[in-house]
Amino acid sequence: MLNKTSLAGLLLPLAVLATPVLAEPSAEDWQTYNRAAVEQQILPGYNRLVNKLDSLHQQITNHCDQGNQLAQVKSTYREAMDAWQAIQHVQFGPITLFMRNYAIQYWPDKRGTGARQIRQALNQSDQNYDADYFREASVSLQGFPALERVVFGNEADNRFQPGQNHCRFAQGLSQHLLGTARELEQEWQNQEKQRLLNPESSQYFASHAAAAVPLMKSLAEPLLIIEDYKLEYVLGDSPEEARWQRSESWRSGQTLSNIQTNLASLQELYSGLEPISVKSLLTAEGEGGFAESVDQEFDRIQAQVASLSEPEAAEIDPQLDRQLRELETAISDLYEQLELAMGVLNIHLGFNSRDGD
Amino acid sequence: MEINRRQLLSWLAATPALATAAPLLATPTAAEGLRFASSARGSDGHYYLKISNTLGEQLASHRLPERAHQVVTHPHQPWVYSLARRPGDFIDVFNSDTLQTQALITTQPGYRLYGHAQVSPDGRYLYTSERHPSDLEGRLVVRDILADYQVVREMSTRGIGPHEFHWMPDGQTLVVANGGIQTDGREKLNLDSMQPSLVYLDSESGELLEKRSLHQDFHQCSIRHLDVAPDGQVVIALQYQGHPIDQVPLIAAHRRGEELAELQLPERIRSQLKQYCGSACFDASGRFAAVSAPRGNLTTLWDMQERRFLNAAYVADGCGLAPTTRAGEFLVSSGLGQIFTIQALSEERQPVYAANPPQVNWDNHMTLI
Repeated sequence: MLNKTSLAGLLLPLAVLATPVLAEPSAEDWQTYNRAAVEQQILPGYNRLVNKLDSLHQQITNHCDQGNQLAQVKSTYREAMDAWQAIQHVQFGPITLFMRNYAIQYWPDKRGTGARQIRQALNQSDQNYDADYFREASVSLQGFPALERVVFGNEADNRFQPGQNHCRFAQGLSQHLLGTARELEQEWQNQEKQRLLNPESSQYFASHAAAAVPLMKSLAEPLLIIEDYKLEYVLGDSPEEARWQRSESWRSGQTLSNIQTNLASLQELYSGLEPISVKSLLTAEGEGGFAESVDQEFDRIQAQVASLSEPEAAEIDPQLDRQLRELETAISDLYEQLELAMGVLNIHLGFNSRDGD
Repeated sequence: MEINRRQLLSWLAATPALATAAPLLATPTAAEGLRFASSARGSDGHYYLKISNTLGEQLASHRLPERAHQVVTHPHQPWVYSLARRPGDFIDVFNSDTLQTQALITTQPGYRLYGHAQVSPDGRYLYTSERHPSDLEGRLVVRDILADYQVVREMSTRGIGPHEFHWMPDGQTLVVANGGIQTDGREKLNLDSMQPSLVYLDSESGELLEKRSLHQDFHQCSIRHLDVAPDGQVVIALQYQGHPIDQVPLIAAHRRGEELAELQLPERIRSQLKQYCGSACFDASGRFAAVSAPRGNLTTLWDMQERRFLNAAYVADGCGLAPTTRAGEFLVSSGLGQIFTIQALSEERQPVYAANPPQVNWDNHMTLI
């Protein structure tokens, strides 16, 4: 997935061309940036996820007590998923422990085991869907995709109703998701924040610049996930191979809005933080024109996604297919621009971790 | 290739005292620091053999034709062998005394290196793990150092994709990791049917002495990197080719005559390793081992006498490992440029480069010289 990095790795950083050569960002610059990322994006992001999952759990409970609130459940589900998409790009720290990243959203399910496992789980009428159940359950049963199946699936009108298994399952699952989100928020507050902002106080990051590396990975690498999974896996090599039902959130109709949300979060890491952003650091390195062009490309791609409509049916019409393939190319190009940006800032995203042997 | 054979013979016959008279082979004092060698990508995008010391000084930087993988040293001479990364075809021989290229060897037509080598304990033969042009079973190819590195024999490794291999303490037996993966270039072709194995071969006859595999459920755990303790215990770093959520062994150990044994990791650590371990290494005492996991940014530390997990050190993109002269202490190199000393029995971690690490990406393996 990451072999494009070798291409960018061969390109010289743009700063080599600039005269005079400027010093790379200082420790203080990175410290300020890291603090901005944690305080302005990561902590609020997990807090929002907790709040939205709390609302979702309440709404599912109300629906399962009183009935007739499926529309509201769907709406709060979409908001919770949106909150997850806004922080999904952070793939370091507490999210990596105990496979939480897979438990929250096991996707893509290329082995196709999820559907069968969920069917089986929902057919166990004597099952107690409590915290222990979900702790021990397969990741296919633990996260958003399983909940999406219950809430948006064909059987929702008949079976996601008070007193039914689907309701008990959804209540337990939304409680479980909420618990995981609370753990993430607390562990970021209690531990990961300190590691990232005070590198000298732990044996993790060796410097403020080293602490910025996982943030820079969080900025750049999700573009490869969007390209490879959210688009290429759906589109295949040709229009004949394209399958919208492989897409991330086709049941809830959020596949495209997910990409939009991801891009907005990445752009925030790039240019939206105060008082220092990646864009301002690049500008300070004498690469203001390049920095601005990357920011504009973020804007342009988001406008491109916003202009598209989610398909109603399984088929992807030829026009949308072409537009999505253009989007895939644009995202690939944007990744390469960010790789160049990392070169200017003297940040290595990875070497041994990317191309193993 | 300019090697004066008479001079070479005299070198090989040299007594240890004479051999260690060479400056870079002298036992380093604390003030000099330990010397280590590793291949690396430089900031110019080219690949190098780098020789440095633990004081943070670079002693040699030697341009290589392409990206290399393991670096091995000659037991008696100041020769450092850089092995092309798979599927490469060069072995660069560098003299760490004269800082000159000693030789540049290429593989036989159609053969490809898997990136690993060993020199026989008597210093006479260079062994490399290689892909055969037509046979799926990998080879150890043996070159006579006294005869301009001519290939004198080869032996099947009894498995596909041999990778790292080491001498057993008897100096006669080789233990080989057969990764099990059939490749075309760097494309993997047989992940559904791969059958990795650990084999012990007689280094002269090529006879298969013992062959071990993990349980069939774990046939996608590629056995790739290993190290051997003075008592003959083998520690093994695995790379799982299956699904990211599967619960599979990532680190194993073996003694002759026994089954392969998984080393049990706490789930909190195991879940972070991304199914991939990069390098394995025993310490100077042979009691402790380190196994790096560059994708998880952790290096795990083990008491190998009890086969017990001790702790995990955070080293971002850390992969290359070497023992220092102190029990329980290791060097870990990072693809991001830094090198650390880490401890099996404490969480202390010291950077070798106090201020600015060099602008290089250290490659997967390092070796003391």
